[in-house]
Amino acid sequence: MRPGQELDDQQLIKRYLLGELGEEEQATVQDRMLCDRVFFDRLRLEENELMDDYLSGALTGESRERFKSYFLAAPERLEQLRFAKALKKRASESATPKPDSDAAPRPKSLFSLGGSTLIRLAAGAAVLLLLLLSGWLAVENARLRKQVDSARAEQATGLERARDLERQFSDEQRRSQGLAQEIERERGRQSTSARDAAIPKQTRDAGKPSIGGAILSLSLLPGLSREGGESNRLEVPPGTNRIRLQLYPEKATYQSYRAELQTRDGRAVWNGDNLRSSKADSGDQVVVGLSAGILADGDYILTLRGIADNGDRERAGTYYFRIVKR
Amino acid sequence: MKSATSRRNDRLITQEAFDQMLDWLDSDRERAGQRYEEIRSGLIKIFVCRGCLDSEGLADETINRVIRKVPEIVPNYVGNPALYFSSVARYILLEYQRTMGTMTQRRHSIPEALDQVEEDGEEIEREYECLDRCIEHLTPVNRELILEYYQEDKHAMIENRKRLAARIGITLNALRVRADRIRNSLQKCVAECLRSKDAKAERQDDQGWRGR
Repeated sequence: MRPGQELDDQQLIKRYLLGELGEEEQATVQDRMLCDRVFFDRLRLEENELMDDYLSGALTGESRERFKSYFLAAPERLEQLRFAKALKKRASESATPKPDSDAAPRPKSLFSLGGSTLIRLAAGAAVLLLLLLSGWLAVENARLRKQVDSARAEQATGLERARDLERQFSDEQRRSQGLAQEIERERGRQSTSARDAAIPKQTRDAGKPSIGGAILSLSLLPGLSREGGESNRLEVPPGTNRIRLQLYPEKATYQSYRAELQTRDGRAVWNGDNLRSSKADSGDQVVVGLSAGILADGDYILTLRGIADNGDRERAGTYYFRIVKR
Repeated sequence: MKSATSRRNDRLITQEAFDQMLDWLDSDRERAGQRYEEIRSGLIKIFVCRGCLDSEGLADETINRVIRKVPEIVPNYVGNPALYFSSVARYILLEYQRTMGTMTQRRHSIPEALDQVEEDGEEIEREYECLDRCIEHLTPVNRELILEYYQEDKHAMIENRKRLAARIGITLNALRVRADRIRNSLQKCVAECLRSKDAKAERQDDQGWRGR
């Protein structure tokens, strides 16, 4: 490495992290990230340093603004920042008083303390701990009592709500049965036509008697759409109650799946567990049912994870779609 | 237009194709595996750095596209295979930006997310609990080093680190690397701890529903 190379790299990485490089320079940095492990490690180091500088207030002016608007764009970065903040707070809490000058005696390291000092410290700490513990127990006891009282009140309200829901469910069921009968009569009148199974497609499915109102269905393949996302657009007319997503997993060998839905901004919208795959003409699919009310206009990302036999969650597909409410 | 089944089959990666890609990375299977992991973590970092939402998914998409191309490119390809991954990643980024809209559009929500980080909410508390637990698992020397390394703010921080490096008898740069390594292991530990807390909470929710 030539002299000054390290400093140049440090500057280059910092500018890359703050989005200050042109497309060509970005590509060069990215090539080096994949080919040069030392460079990659340095980039990770600079990432952490930038976060520390931001938290400590050392990052100012334009750099601070770019940090907030560019560096933090990926959700992983916010997580890293939260971690850095927690670590810094813990470190500050554990700080020992510092000497006024270098000439003054330094606080001793834990490992250089003498045995008797350690015993005195330990005894003092134990007494303090006991006092704190008894105080905390008293407060905690009062808090728990309060919680039990409020839980009882909530339980009573919950029971009342459950009864209401049960009544609503029965009404809904009666309505749905009526609808189902009507659909059957309609089917009898019409000649049957072959169903086009091409995906992705949008269908109106009124054949589910268990749910009143319209259901929209959208089939999704994992990964980015090469057509620019238009094929994964779902127009939702007024009166739609449910949205049914048919997901084609990359791997369909899992016993069950977990689906996590988030907005383009990374805000969690919904998640579902214990989803199963089923066989369809076009391959194995996992069906997710959503209430239309939870989806506003906008872009969504759904991450499907397969639950492996050892309980690990493995990525089984990422799906992108857009909701447009009419 | 291709049928759904053929489009889906196009996307499937067989073990044979994956092995072919590994052979291309290195004839020694162990080194190839290591190289694969390095490329994957590099790709994830690239997508994170460019502000993408699902960096892991995009990294896997990049790798899958390379795997599908391997039989075609290997006979005539000259140079470091990692560079090929990098150029495919650039296309994926373009597709991502087209699908999701420009990054400037989505940055509007960052201040809100940043506010969440800056508030000492429930999530931060959960993180503190896990962090305490993970710090306890460090060796005493590493524990002392990491806590002292992050103690001060601004200029005091630099002076503090210089003193710490001098006391341990290493250069400031070596101290940065060492602190970074401990910090990364702590971060992994905290992430694992939070995941197991989430899983526990989900199991409790599940039992709650079944119990009703």
